[in-house]
Amino acid sequence: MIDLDFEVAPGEAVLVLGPSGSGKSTLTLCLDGLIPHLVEGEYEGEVWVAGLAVKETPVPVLAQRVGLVFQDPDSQFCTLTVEDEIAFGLENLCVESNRIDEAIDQALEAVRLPGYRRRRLSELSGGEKQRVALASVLAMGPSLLVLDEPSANLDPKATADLFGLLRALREERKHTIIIIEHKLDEVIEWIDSVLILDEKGRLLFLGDPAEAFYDNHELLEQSGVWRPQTAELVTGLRQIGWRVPGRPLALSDTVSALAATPGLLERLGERLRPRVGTDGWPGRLEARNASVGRPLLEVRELSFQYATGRLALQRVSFSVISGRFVALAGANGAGKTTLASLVSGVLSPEPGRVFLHGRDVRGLSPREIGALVGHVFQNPEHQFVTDTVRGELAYSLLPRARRRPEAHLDEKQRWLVDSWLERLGLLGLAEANPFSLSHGQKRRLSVAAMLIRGQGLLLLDEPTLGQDERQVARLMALMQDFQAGGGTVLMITHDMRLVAEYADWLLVLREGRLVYEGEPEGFLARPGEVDKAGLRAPALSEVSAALLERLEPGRPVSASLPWLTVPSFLSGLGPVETALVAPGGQGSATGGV
Amino acid sequence: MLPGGALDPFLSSAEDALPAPGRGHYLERRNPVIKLLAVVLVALAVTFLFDPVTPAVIFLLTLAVGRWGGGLSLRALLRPLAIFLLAGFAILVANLLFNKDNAVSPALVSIGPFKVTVAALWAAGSLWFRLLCFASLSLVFVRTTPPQDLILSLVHQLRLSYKAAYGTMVGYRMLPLLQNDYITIRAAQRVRGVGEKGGVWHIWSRTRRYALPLLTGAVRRAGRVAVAMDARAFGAFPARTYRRRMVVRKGDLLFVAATVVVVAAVLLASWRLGIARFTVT
Repeated sequence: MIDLDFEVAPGEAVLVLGPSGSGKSTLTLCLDGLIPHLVEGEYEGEVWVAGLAVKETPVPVLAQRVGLVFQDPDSQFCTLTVEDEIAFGLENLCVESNRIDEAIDQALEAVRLPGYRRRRLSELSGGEKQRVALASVLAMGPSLLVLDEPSANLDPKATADLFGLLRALREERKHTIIIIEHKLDEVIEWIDSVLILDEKGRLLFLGDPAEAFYDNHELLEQSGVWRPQTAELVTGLRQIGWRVPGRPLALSDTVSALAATPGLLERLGERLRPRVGTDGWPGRLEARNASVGRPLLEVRELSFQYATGRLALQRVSFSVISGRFVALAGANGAGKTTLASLVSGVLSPEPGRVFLHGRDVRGLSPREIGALVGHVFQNPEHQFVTDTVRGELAYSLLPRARRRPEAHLDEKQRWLVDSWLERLGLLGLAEANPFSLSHGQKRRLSVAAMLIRGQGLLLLDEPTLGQDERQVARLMALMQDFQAGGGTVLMITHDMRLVAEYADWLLVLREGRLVYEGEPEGFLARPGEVDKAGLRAPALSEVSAALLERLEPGRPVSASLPWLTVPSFLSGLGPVETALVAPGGQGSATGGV
Repeated sequence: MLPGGALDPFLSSAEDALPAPGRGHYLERRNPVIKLLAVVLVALAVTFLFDPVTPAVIFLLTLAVGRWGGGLSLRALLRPLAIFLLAGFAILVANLLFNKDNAVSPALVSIGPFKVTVAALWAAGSLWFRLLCFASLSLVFVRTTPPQDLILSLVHQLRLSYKAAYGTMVGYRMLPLLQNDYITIRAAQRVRGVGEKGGVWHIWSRTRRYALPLLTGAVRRAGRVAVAMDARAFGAFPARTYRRRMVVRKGDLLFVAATVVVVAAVLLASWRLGIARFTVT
């Protein structure tokens, strides 16, 4: 991090954005004095928090001004129970024991977890853990809360709950909040300003979010930061001629702005009316017909119970057609990872439940399953088995080589490995240790190490976890290439924006049961179901639903707009000129951009 | 993360059986360090018993105290001990084959050259019951002592530095996470074709492959916890307060005294009956 200079007013909520490695986490440590007091390094300049110069103020004093909440709930606790954890900070400050008890109750009250005092931390859900982490810093009475990707390990429901809580805390207790977060659409509703860092940790922007996302095209390019979906939609609409007023970011503002756009609601009505009652947008129907093939994977009445007694799956049946991009969604603990593990042979299903190419997986050896299915785990490091980047790819081709598989490759295989290295942008790092790569590079390498074997089906377990927007885009490009080459993808995720953009088939698990199988549109059109599954529809589908409501109040929600991504919305609506050329919009149903 | 079976029966069950502090069964209410003292005393006494009967009696007493004093079900007490059945069998076989007194001791059964001698049974039984004593004592202790209470008690009664104490607690928290990581890493690498074959070379290379991600993860996690603790003013002052204080009550001292009396009584009775042997014959 270099040369940073900014001010945050009391009571403000600031969103910090920037690519991985831009020093966002370093910034958090500077704010509460761990840098420079406990972490060594080169430090220049001054940080002032609540009127205190950080360099001159001891850590315990700062700890009462600044509260830090981190990404991983499991690695910020040091005790075993909720009450001990909240007491921990106060005990360090030598607060008397009778006052601590009171503070624990107040802190739990503040995070809406009354009655959790005696609970064990290990039995809490991820969302509850993050709230306890928040309570344990709130108990110390900070005015500034600094949160470093607090929702990274949470599912959409828990994320929404956490953000709702932060919002309420800010209103009730006037906390200043600095939050690092990738989930733009979720935080944009309640932040006051954004701070954008570039790759080198320099300050690119601090100020009004609307200015950042509407007036600073170059800035966004430079920092690799994406826009909230609402800003993306409005910008896109303007490019095709719609005069959308204002610079809306929040959902409700966006809906009002679109409703106030001359001619937009009318066009929406025209474009939609002929399709009411049919399912989906014609463009999608074509895609669907093209992709019909033989079932590559078939699951019949699959149930699974762990040795611990937990029933993870209950009578799940579905099939995956070859060539599809299937998303497997659901809240944390819904059974997604278990299902993937049963398909790839990590766990063993009962006979007659899981079929690959029509063959029961129970009749296949691990090697045979491995030749048909690639399984990319959540943490790329867990799957590295050699000492070099090149070795990782070579190992996939020659898993039986004892040492240095890259030394035993033949001409063709060597060429294949090199072409993959080039594609991943890792040619220069071919001899590096995989553990030394950046997070995004590790992720792409682990995916490539599966793809290079040429299996027809690729399972990915939350591959976008902890990745910034640019890395997600590069990863998804790899997946799309794989699909274009005839591959089939089954991706576990709870990011419904990703699902809407990339998946052509969706499976939804809720508490171990399959509650939806079909096109993503069909599921996202039922907000009640989305909610019940612990998921959250992308911002765009909420905008669409609200617009429809304005257009035809009282219309059944199940007939919501099929346009769930910005490109499909734009091409669905069409440029404003066609409306001028051909009033009524007839004959231009396929006109798009 | 794959929820898998527990590798260590004590570890996961201790978590499951964590009682609310200050409440619960008689043993759960005892001061942890004092309880530990009682366990050590009993274990020491058992160490010097070389007959099978006396340790067997103490083993049964330990189970009884765990059952009625600790509120542990027989199932919870006996299941983790099942592994020691196997150990007992191994000890027996070793003694039948190699006990030096086999030649002079009367044989109970003999199958050809193979004799089951009294000396062998006696020695094996003694070793096995002592083993069971140690196992059941630790089991009852672990199952009736919330780890956070033990840590606090070490600080309050034994003056352990609080930094060391919390370091231990964090380590304890990490164990189940590490275990989960291990299970996940093993699965993740098997998917890539890392086999489960035996042989020195395979075991060595597999260990190496598991170790790196496991250690990287653990170090990273430890670093994060350290930062999170520092951010909450851990170690800022030489002393700190405690919401709960572990104290030694009269009941705790009575418990140790009663334990000593009972064990002494058992030893005395056994000696009077001519069963107890305090030296190797």
